[in-house]
Amino acid sequence: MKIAVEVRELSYRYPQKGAALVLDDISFSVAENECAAVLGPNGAGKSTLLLHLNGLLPEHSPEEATVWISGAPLTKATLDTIRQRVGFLFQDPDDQLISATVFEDVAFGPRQFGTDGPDLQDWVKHCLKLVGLEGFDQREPHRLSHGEKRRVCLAGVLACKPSVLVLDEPTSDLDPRGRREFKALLKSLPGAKIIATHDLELVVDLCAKVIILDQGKLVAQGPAIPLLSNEPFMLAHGLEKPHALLHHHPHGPQ
Amino acid sequence: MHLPDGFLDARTTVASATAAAAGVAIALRQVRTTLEPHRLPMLGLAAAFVFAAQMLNFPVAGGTSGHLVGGVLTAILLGPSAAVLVMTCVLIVQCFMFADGGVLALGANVFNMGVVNVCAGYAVFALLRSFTRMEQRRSMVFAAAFAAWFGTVLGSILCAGELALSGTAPWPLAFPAMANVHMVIGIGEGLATGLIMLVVMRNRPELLDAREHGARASLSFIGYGLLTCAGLAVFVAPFACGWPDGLEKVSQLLGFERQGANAVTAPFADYCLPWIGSTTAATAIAGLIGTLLAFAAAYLLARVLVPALRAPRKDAASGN
Amino acid sequence: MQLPATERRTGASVSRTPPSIKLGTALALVLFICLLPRRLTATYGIVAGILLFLWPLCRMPFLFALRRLLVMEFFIAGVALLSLLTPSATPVVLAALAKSNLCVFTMLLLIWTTPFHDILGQLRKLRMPTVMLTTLALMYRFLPVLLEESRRMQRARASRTFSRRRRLAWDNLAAILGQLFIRSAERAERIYLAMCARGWK
Repeated sequence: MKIAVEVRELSYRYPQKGAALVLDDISFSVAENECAAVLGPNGAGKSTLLLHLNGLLPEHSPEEATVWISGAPLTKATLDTIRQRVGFLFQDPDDQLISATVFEDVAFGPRQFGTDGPDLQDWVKHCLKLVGLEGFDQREPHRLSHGEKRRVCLAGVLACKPSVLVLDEPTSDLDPRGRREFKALLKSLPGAKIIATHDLELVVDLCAKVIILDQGKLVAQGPAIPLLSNEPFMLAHGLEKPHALLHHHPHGPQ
Repeated sequence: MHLPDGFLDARTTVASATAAAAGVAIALRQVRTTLEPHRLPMLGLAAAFVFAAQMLNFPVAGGTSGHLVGGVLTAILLGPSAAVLVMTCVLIVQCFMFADGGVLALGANVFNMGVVNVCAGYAVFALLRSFTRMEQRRSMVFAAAFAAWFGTVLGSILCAGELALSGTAPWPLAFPAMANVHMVIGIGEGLATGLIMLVVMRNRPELLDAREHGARASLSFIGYGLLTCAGLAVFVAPFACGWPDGLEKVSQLLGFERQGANAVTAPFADYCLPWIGSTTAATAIAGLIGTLLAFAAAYLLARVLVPALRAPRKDAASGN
Repeated sequence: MQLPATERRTGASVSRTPPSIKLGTALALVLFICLLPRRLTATYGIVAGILLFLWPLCRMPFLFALRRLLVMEFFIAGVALLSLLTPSATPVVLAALAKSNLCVFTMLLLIWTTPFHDILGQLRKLRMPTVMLTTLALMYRFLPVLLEESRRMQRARASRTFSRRRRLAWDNLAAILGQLFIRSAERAERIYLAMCARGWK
């Protein structure tokens, strides 16, 4: 089983003098085609951890790697190549959608690889079709619904052909239908996925592995169902047992 | 370009502070009378935007980076008077939160970067827009970019003049240094301004309709124009090249120089005031007086020559 | 450039002095320094001594002062360079150098001990026009919000930027700033509604 993402002894502290440790000696790995969830209360360091996976943190890339993507270490020299392999979906789609049209935003990544002309048109259309937004090419981002914006962002990320998907709270602010549709969409995508989320029902449905952070420390990692079923443990770390596991839920695992 | 304290002497500080106060007063009056109440928070947000924009680094050659000042951009997006207030507030915050720019030098900084940069830049923008025959968007971007460059350079020239008038840096060195450096920096400012204008136009063209209209706006334009000319007269004109101009040179060459005689004794011959010792100060004041007299004369001429247009008679029957 | 954190100022007795006194003293000092003669004299040393005495009272960190002073030195060095080319002007330039450094240091002491909120209060007492006071207050309130928003947009763009071409960097920054302005305009509308909802006229 090949490892898609490996993190070894990752620690992080804010650049200000005397700042507290935000991440303390984190180590874990995610296999190819495995879906892992990063859970924890607010302020545990989930987003900070995710930002390390495509080199956005630390601010000055380290000389020694603490993150490996598909076996390649993430250092200053390899930053650009590895960044292309890791597709990052941010929590607020407005942070990503700064182009004039949907087409422009999705085309932003591929253009850098030299894709242009009719090839680019076809590829963008294909990516939009993957996320269920066929025909949205010329729409303006600010007129889209929240769920549509999210999906445009995903299309833009997929357009870069990543091998690993990192998602920061992908279903927050979505209505129940939006959540169900996005969940189905994620299920259809191949490759390793790392999802930071509060949506425990999503985790039960999608993720085989779970990584639990609390106050910057990794307090547990392992198969999802046994860990999530451990109610005292979940409550102790600011979480709870998912409803899908509390009762024999029709949408839950059988 | 933020002048720190200690570089300007007393009279330059007072002169520039007065000019800045006048500019801000004009802007305040214009904003108070014409700004719709729902746009008032926009001033605060625009000031925050300018500040945030100034913190972003644009990469320039070889590892250095520059950043946007944003005076002309704000003027185009909000109108010149609002932009004067916004830039003044940005400068105040920079002074009192970061010690970026001196307290006593605030007058000079506001005048250079908040009044002249903004208003002269905007005037150039408006002028270019009305003269170019390009497609509308292109003309906006071109005019905005050039106006931003122009405003940057003009502001720096005034800064050099203020330094020279104070005796801190000699004009022959200060002017070329400041002007040349800012001509280069201005390219970045112009480029950035043009690009940002393009983005705003593509996404929200209706935001660019914030213009100042009406008679009051014209009065404030006149006020700004007068201030800019006065600034040039006071801070730059004293250092005008002392070499003979075209006619004087020709008259020297052809030998009829001494035959020129004055029919009327000029009160300020050669831009000198007899009761002020220093020639630079004298030229500055003479220049200021001359500017004001020229303004007054032009105004009176217009008043006398052009009859006021009568307002169209209202039709009583239709009740319009 | 980080915004000065107001939480860092604790304990110093100077911090508890009324802001009007702090502001008045700072301005008086600056004025005094600027009126000093244009060659280095003993008075410069006396002023420097006063500031050095005040420094530990204000508990201003050395690094904070150093960083701000360094930013300023670039401009000062530039002007000094121009003037040193005329040797007769050297004493004037040295005096200007000393003056500007002393003034910046004075302002830094003021900034460290007086949160901007207090300075705004003083400006209100000095009858600054309401338009400008509102603008300053809103600016101070929303600057961190806009900075955070621009940082997030930069991060999101950086996640999909795989080359270091300058053209791309400029396009990205322009797009971010353009969007920032548009969103600021929208936010301003929402702020107006919120203010009206609480009775502002």
